[in-house]
Amino acid sequence: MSALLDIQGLNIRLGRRGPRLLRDVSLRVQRGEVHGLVGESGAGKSMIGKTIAGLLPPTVRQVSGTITLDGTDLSALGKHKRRRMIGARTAIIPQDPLSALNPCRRVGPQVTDRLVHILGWDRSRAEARALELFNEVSIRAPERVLRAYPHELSGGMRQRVLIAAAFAAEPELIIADEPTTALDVTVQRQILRLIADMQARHGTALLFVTHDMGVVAKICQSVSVLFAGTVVSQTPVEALFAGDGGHPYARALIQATPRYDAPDDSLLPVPPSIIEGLRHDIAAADAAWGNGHG
Amino acid sequence: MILQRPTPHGGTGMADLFTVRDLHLSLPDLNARPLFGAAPRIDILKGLNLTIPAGQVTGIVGESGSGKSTLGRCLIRLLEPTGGQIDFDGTDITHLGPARLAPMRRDLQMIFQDPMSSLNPRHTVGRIVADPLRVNGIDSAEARALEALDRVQLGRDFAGRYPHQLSGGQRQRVGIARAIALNPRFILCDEIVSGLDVSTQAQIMVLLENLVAEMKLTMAFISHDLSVIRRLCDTVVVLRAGEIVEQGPTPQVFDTPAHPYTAELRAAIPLPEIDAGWLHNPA
Repeated sequence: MSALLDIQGLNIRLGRRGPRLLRDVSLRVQRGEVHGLVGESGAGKSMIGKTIAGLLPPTVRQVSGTITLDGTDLSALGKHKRRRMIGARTAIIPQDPLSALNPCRRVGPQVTDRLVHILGWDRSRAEARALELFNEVSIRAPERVLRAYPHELSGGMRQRVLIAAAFAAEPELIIADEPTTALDVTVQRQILRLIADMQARHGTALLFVTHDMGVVAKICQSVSVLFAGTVVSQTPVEALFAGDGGHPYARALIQATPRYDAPDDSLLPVPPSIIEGLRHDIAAADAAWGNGHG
Repeated sequence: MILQRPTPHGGTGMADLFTVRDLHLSLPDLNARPLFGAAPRIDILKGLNLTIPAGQVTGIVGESGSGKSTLGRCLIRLLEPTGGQIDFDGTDITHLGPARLAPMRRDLQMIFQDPMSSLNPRHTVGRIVADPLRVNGIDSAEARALEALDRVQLGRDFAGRYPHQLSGGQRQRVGIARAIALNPRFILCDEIVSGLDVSTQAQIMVLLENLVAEMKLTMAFISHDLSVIRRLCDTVVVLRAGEIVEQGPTPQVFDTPAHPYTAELRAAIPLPEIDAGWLHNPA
């Protein structure tokens, strides 16, 4: 069976002559799996998510590459059709649940907007669906939350609302952009558990963007590691965390992650030789690519 | 060379620099303010007792809203407690006014979480580090600022640059340089590595460890990340909702947590290893 999301040779650059932000990115997300997209800030994790959703800022453009969702080449669709397809079949769980919600509107309509405007449901059916989802994500007093304003909810509660909103229209793919980074560890664990449960129950594929190797280990089935807009490795999660497996850079990121159970064998800085090696390869690839794309 | 100033305790490093007794702090709850009259007060800190030993790193850990930053800001008297007592090196500083505190400020330094917003974008790195030295009337401020930049492994070339020209890790090094340049008796670090990438975080932690060892710094290190605390801190204080639930030597608190909340915090950390049960285990 073909992959649900298939990105091939994606190149994104800043302006007409600016630097490449994504370099020949290819990755596949299978139906129903959680695929981790991991890397440090500036590696292009969020850029990939934005490209899929068609949310690139106007100064950035796609130079080449294809994005295929469930067999349909998104780049071949017109703007309107693409937006409909993205809206109906994908959803986003954002990093910052407060700025993702309009502070002047009640939570309910913000959750049901997609159902009403993209799927054409009537209000009462959409509202019933929202309540059903609120129950599923363990929101107590769902009727009250539906009528609440975002500032009346805690951070964890807002993230639950957005998870409910993401799953409401039964999308095939959810892009989760660092959904737990802003949360406390104990809340993070609850939210990760919730996302994993919802994902398994609904059979949704998840593109899980994160910088935290600990989170990757707990929730992902396969992982792409990014460095400077380049996918340096794409493996099943077991291979990444197997003692000597995986790309040296991925292994270095794991060893840089602090561990309370091994204080002296964690928090190891990434060896400069690994970074230099990657930079060298990228410079060579850029030079070769630049010859064709001036 | 930055001179080590002698401490009244003969520099043995074992005496308590801070002694905090029954510390209370409450703030008016402006969200619940009635139309007339005073706003009701919320208790942020509810009677904390702790000591901060000289020459050691004390970790302060807890979730958001637990009062860890408020405690830190009371220690360096950016906030005035509403009750209890804070002794700094034998002096009661609980209610000292700005004039009495001013000469003590050079000994009570702070490194901030967000290195960008804590550095003046219009000043060069050299000026950012040297200004506190000048304010405190220290001669050869420039020379000492350059020394501090060396100590944080930025190098003197950085003195002429502006904060926007630096990476996140380099900015945090400037923040550290500014704090250590004064050779203070105490440094408060409030979540100073939580905004950094893992690889940068690792470098900054190594730098801090070296500085602590070389300069015999006394620090309070606030973090929500138990793994980072475990590496750097000698003792740890666990806060929840304005109360101390547990404190003691770091290895002891981690290996045999006495309070279920500490165990819960520890269990919630996702370690970078495959563990199928982690998501669904209770606690």
